[in-house]
Formats: sequence, C-alpha cells, structure tokens
Amino acid sequence: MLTTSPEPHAQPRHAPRKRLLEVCAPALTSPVVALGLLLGSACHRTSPELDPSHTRVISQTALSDEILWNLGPEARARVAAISSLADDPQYSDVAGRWPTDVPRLAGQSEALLARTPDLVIIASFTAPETQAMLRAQKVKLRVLDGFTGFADYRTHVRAIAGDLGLQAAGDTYLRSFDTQLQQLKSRVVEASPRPRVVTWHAGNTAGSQTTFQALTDTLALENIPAANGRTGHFALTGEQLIAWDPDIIVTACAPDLATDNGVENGCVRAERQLAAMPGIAATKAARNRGVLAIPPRMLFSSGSGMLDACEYMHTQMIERKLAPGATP
Amino acid sequence: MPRPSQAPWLLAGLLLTAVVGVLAQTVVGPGDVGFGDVVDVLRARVTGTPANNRLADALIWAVRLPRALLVACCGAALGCAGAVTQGLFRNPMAEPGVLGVSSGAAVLAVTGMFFGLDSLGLWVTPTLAFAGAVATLLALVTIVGSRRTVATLLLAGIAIAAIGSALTTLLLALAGARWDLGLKMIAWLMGSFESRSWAHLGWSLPPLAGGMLLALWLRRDLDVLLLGEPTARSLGVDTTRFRNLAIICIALLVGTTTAVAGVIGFVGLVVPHMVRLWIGPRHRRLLPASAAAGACLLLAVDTVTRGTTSVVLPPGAITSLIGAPWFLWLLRRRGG
Repeated sequence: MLTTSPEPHAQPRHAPRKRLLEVCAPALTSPVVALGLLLGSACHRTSPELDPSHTRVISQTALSDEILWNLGPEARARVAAISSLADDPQYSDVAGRWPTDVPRLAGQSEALLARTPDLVIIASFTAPETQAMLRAQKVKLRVLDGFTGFADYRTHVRAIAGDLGLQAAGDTYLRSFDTQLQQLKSRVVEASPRPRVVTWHAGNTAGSQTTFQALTDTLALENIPAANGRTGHFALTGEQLIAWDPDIIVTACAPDLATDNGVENGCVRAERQLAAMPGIAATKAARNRGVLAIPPRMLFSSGSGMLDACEYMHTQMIERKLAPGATP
Repeated sequence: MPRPSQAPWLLAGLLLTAVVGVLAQTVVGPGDVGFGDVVDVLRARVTGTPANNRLADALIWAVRLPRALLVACCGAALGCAGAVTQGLFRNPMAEPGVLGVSSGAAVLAVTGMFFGLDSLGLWVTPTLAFAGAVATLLALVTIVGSRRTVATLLLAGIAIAAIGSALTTLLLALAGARWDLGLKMIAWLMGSFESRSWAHLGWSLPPLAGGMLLALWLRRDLDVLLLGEPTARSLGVDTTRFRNLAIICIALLVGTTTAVAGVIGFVGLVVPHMVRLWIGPRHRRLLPASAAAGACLLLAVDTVTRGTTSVVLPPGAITSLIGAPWFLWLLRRRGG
C-alpha cells in the first residue's frame, strides 16, 4: 500500500570486500566460536566510518526488512541479507516481495559476519551476545528500540534512511504515510463516551505504550487496560476480560484456513470461536458482533501495518455499526 | 509419628476444606461479585430462570465454578497418582512424571500447536495431549516387555521422559521465530487453568474417575508390595498384572490432568508424602487422603494467586514455592 517499486533488486557493489570475505569467511563460519572470534578479530575492518552511499546493510528485524523495501530501489540494492521473518505473511508487510537471491538470516553471528556488512540493523531485544560479537568486529549497529506507535515508526524510518544517506527517500515515504494517516483520522468521528476496547490474543493484551494504544488513539477508542493504568503487553485472564465487559474485543487470525470444505476465512472463524467461548459470550462485544479478528501482520505490526490495522478496524466497525458516528 | 486413627478426621477436614475452597473460588477474582450473586446465579441455574446480573452469571457459572471444580479434580488426581506411583516404586521420592506420561502428553500437544491444529477447536489440544499420554504408556509397556521389573520400568520411564522433553524443546526452538506461537507453547507447558470450562471438566471427569476407582481397587496390592516383590508374589499378588494396572491408573490420572491443564509438578511428589507422615502408609487411607489433600493444595494455590494478583501465574511453580518449604519444615520437625 505504501511506496513500492517494481525495479529488481540489484547486487551489492563491494568487490574488495568480497576478496576479504574469501580470506576470512572460512574462519568466521567455523563452528569453533572461540577460534572464529580470534580469526575474526584479525580480519576486522579498522574503520567503521563509511560512506553512507556505499553502506552494505543486513536487516535482522521484520520492521527493518519492511522499511528498507519501502525506501525504494536504491536502498534495496545495498541489502546484503534480510531477516528470516521477511517471507512470513503472519509478521511481514513485505512477504514475498524481496527477491529470493537475497539471503535470509536468523541472527546467527557467524552468518552475519560472513556477509561482511557495514551496517547491521537489529532490535534492542536481539541477543546481547550477538550484539557484543558484532561490536567486537567493528560492525556498525543500528539498534531499533521503542515499538510503541507511529512516532517510533517515524524515528526508525528516519534513522535507517539516514544511515544509508537516503534522507530524502525517507522523508518522501513518511509524507505519503502521514497523508494516509491524516486522511483516516479525518474520517473518524469521536463519540462520548468512547467505545471501550481490549485486544486479546493467546491470553495476552496490550496497555499503554504499545502499538495497540496507537491504533485506539487513532480510532478514538478507549483501550481499557491502558485506562486501568496498565502499560506494555501482559497476560490477561478471560475472567478479567469478562469483568471489563468491553464493547469491542480485537484478536488476531490467520486470514485463510484450509478445511475439509475448501478454504475458510480464518478471521470469521476466529471471531466465531472467541465470541462463543464460555463467559465471553455474555459480553457486550460478543453479543453485538464486536469481536474483531484481524490478520496478525496488522495487529502486531510496529510499521506501516499499523495503518492497515486502523483502516481494517475502522471499516469493520462501520460495517457492524460499532464505530463512532455509525448508525445506532 | 503417623497417627492412623486420625485418618477419618483428616479426610473429613480435607473434604470440608475442598468444598470451602470451591465456594471461595466463585467470589475471588475480578469483577464486583459477592456471595449474594453466587446464590442468585445458582438459584437461577437450578430454577431455569435468568440471573439478575448478566456478568455475574458469566463469571460465576461459565468461568469460576467449572474452573474451581477442575482445579479440585486435577489436584485430587495428582495426589492420588503420586500415592500410586510411590507405592509402585516403593520409593517416597517417586512422582508420576517418572513414567514420562506428562512429557509424552506435552510433545503431542505442542506439536499440534506448532502445526496450528489447535485453531480447529478447544478440544484439539486436550485430545492430542491425552493421545500423547496413551502413546507414551504403550511405548513404555512395549519397550519394557516381559522384563517388567520396577527398576527397568523406572529407567525406561526416565528415558522416555527425556526424549519427550528433548522433542518439546526442539519444537520450542523451531517456534522461536514466531513469538506468539512460542508464547502459547510456553504458557501451556507451564500449566494453567485459565479459561477452562464445563467442557474441559466434562472431558476429564470420566478418565479421572476411572483412574481413581482403579487406584482404590489396587489399594491392597499396593500395601502388600510394600513388603517387597518376592513377598508380594508369595502372598498371591500377580505382580505383572498389578504393574500393568498401576501404569494404566497413573496414565489415566496424569495424562488427563496434563491434557486439560498442562504440566503441573510437585503435587504428586509431596502431597502423598506429607499425608503418609501424618496417617501412615496404608493405601486404604492414604489414597483418598492424598486425593483430598491434592485438591485442597491446588485450590488454595489457585484461589490465593487469583485473589492477590492479576498476573497469570503457573500453578505448578506456586505449589512448589508454597509446598516445598512446608515439606522441608515437616521433614526437619519429624527427623527426616
């Protein structure tokens, strides 16, 4: 839905570094970690300061896979590898878009170092050992921290665009994103009191300082856990959910499920199952078609999927007459 | 010093405590629900009229009451299974998990989650877990074959449990990239009574009742086995048949519990031991008292944790944290 380009992925331009790799890679990919570390130290680059326009980058988060793709062909051409989540439609907004010849890596230090990156994009929750090893090899790290909504997303886009010397592309992308967000907000009608909403998936919910809070703020809804002073993600009992008696319960679903009778809409099934659960069936949400199941790539997204989630929820709420301003 | 004469009083006290525990469960927890609501909801259910408070009806009838009864049943099953296991192995440190039944149940349950089968319905995970428990039992009997000594059984059980744990760990590692799947698996493995309903209670009651009746039927053989296998044989006990029945009994009790509530440790190890210290080793008294004590312990843990925190805590960890220090104190007081 956002900036994408049909241009094919270009190969990185780093012949001298490739020669270095030929010498050092066998040592770096050795299963003997200690030996790998020693030899790796001998092979490391001495200067981490690089020309941003030639930065060879590895992405190790689903969010940075998406941002790099959305920054356009110039950014994509610098990518040496992406995360193993990039092709998972459950979590990635760009599943199936990255060319198959771009390696998918799952955070193993040896594999990362063997690609001789200049920049590795990781998250604050990446294993500290991996972070330490990459730092010891003088690899520049972009550590993405804070995944609580649109402001954090903008920060991450600007940071990655800046690392690659593509600030203009980052600004263009964010302008397009914010325009769509403003258009959505202009369609939302504030109700008083706001409809009360809870997200509940696999027994977990989200309070304030989460992307779900950003969604509810955008759609003028009251996130009940946040209103009760809860922050972050935490386990929520079904009992507490029933006691809160929300107007809307948001859960995640697999969009398509193979069944004996063909393909069933997994979201419809998820809604039906949750609404029929003992106790939950008595809540306002279950009785008024207020159980909303949305694909996880939207509900769990900390990137452009948040906007998709807002659009999806808004459409569903209007159709079911749950949204502010809808026909009672 | 054990006091067998106190057994009837102990059993009556434990049963009364269990009933009070079940009632307490219905008023403890989130939402503005008191005993008046409990009476109103029960009256409405008995008379078939609608309850005055829709949410109280949902909380008490659909959530708390089935959960409390399931907690009591699982605690009773684990206590009883522990007593049978310790009698079978003639070792007070044996616990139902040594046969690998819990591990086998966990493997199939987690495999089902890994492949998304649990999205087909609430019944899938308990069914798979129970199938895993039965498969483990069959594997155990097949492997041990005719050389069914207690030592062989114990070692084979430990090996099967190790294989089960390894497979579960592998599946968890493979699921690591899909954080919500990993979270779901870990939550199930930690054990929980969260969102368990009348359906769960209905599935579990027949096998649990069967297992407990079988345990009571084996009480005399369990007593005789305390004298040693050769003596038991000389007194007419068919030890092979006895062992098969004991294994089936343990598998029914532990497999069903694991199927509906996940893996809950400690209860089967320490409850029978504590009860034995109090009323002696005779299984006629030990089995029902262990079942009642297991129910009370699990009810107490579940009620206290639900009443004091909104955080979902695994009951197995809490039973260990509460029961182990008490157990140690008891051991020290009684001289080991």
